[in-house]
Amino acid sequence: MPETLLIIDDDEALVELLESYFTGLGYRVATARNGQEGLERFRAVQPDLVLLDVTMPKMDGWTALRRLRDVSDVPVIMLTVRNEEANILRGFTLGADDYVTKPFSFAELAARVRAVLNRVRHKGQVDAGILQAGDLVVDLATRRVTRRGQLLRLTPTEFKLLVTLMEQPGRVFSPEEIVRKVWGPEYVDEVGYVRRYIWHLRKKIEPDPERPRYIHNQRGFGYYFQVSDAPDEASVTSPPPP
Amino acid sequence: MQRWRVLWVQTSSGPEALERSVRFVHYLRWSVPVFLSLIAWLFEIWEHVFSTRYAEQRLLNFSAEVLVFGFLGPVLIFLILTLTTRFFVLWKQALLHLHELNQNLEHLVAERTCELEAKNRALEQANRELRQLDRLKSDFIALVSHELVTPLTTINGGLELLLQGRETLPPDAQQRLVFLQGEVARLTRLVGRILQVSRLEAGKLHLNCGPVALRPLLQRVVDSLVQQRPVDIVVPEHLPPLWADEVYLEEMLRNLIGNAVKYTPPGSPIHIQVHPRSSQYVDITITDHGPGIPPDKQHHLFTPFSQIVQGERRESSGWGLGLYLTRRLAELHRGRLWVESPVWDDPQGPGSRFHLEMPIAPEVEPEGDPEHASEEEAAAYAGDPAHH
Repeated sequence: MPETLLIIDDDEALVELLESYFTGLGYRVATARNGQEGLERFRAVQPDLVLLDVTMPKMDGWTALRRLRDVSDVPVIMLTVRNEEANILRGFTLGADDYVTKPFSFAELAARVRAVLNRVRHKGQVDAGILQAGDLVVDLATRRVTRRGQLLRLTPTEFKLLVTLMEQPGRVFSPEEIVRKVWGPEYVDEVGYVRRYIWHLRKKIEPDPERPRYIHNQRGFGYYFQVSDAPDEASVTSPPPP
Repeated sequence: MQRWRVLWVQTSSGPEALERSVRFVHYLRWSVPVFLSLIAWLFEIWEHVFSTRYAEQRLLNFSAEVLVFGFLGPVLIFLILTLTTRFFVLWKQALLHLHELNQNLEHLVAERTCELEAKNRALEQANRELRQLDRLKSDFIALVSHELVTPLTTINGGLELLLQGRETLPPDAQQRLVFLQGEVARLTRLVGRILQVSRLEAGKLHLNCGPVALRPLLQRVVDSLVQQRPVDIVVPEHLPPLWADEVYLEEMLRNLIGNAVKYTPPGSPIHIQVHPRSSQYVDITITDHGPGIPPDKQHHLFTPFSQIVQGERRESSGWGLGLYLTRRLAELHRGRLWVESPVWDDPQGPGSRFHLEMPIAPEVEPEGDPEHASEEEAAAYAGDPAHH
């Protein structure tokens, strides 16, 4: 049975095109022109995913999202022209699953819809698109890193470095290996980068960078990722558990 | 004492008061000697005519004393009083003049203060109006850009939909659609850049700084922008990472290297050199073999929407935002951007050299060195299955 999308946006032309596009991809599509109408349509069609615009007459997207979250856990992707960080954070705080900034390409939006639906479909199972360790959650699709629900602002290279270490927890990576994986084999001589990157990454992700909980240093060999409850004093002198 | 003097000058000031004082002193100058002379005459008459004390040589004594006390004495007093009067009048005139000068000065100061206050008020008003205009301009740009964004999404989506079924379309229609898609993408980039400028000017653009390895970033940018052209990249070995927002640093380098590509004739090389300027800053220079920038036009380069225009002819395509944005981003990173031109002796291609100065990432605190282990640690670690 095809999945149902509900598109709530006041731009009629855009809604019509999105309807046509997603129908062509095999989804069932319902539409609404504002938040109030969107809530009524939601009750009527019970969609699998909602595409919700922020700036709308009668009831804006934020209010509609709050009302939706009172009654349902349906995945919501926000569509907006505002790509300011405060807005993105607001969306995630209110319970949005993803955020797409206009102007977007339809192909990109379709990929996001598929990723979110896939995640919901496999909820409870190990999600290939999510890395989780302790309080730290890395969403590979949206490139979002959170700790206890708080969004952490990593640079693209810091994100890549964290994912490299997290994908094989407990495995010690030498600085050369890290350079090869993060920057490429032609930069293996530039191992000096690694120490600084790790130090700054710890400042962003660790609750206490002086006593790391996630990224540990194996002196003489390299770095490894492991969630430890105890303060990291042993990591310098003893090897990690297998 | 000073207070009393001021009070006296104030109460006895003015030309009428001076005239009254002078008349009074003139009156004293005549009346006092005449009065004293009269007294002296009366006394001498009483002493020598009616008294019996000086019976001998009465006439001689009377004459001598009248001459001294009744005539010479009052004349001397008259002279002293005349001189005193003269000094008094001069002193009073000086005081009066000083008072007038003071009053003039106070008046002048008050007048100038009023003028200055009026000018200050006008300046404040002009400043307020300018700020309001600037805010209105930013709001207008942001509003217009936002209003452009939604139709752009629709147009782009419509083109995507049409291109999905491209096999059914004639080849020239396909070509036109692809061309239109490119134009929409160009317009989208322009709107994005205008929005970025308005966010920057409104102070809403926040950096996400971290260490950035420059050599891989430079190579990535060059690989994506430069084809079929020699590029000479010189980066010193073991250059420490920069301290920057990686996304914005890449954008800055894209702007500068993209400009160098745009203005350098095909086949001519581009030179990119990096050298540490101090322990805290790195200088990235991008040198082209283009037409150069005349010195009198160099300061226009970094103002928004500026293009070097000669008559009706623009020197190049573009929006005139890239260098402005790059300089503002550099300043936001506490760095700098400037240009020198000409660079080469070649009059056909004097070239330009852009200097981007960026901060180096702060040194990290010392920690166990992951590259060197003691022998015991190596031995303990040798049996660890986690290490491959």
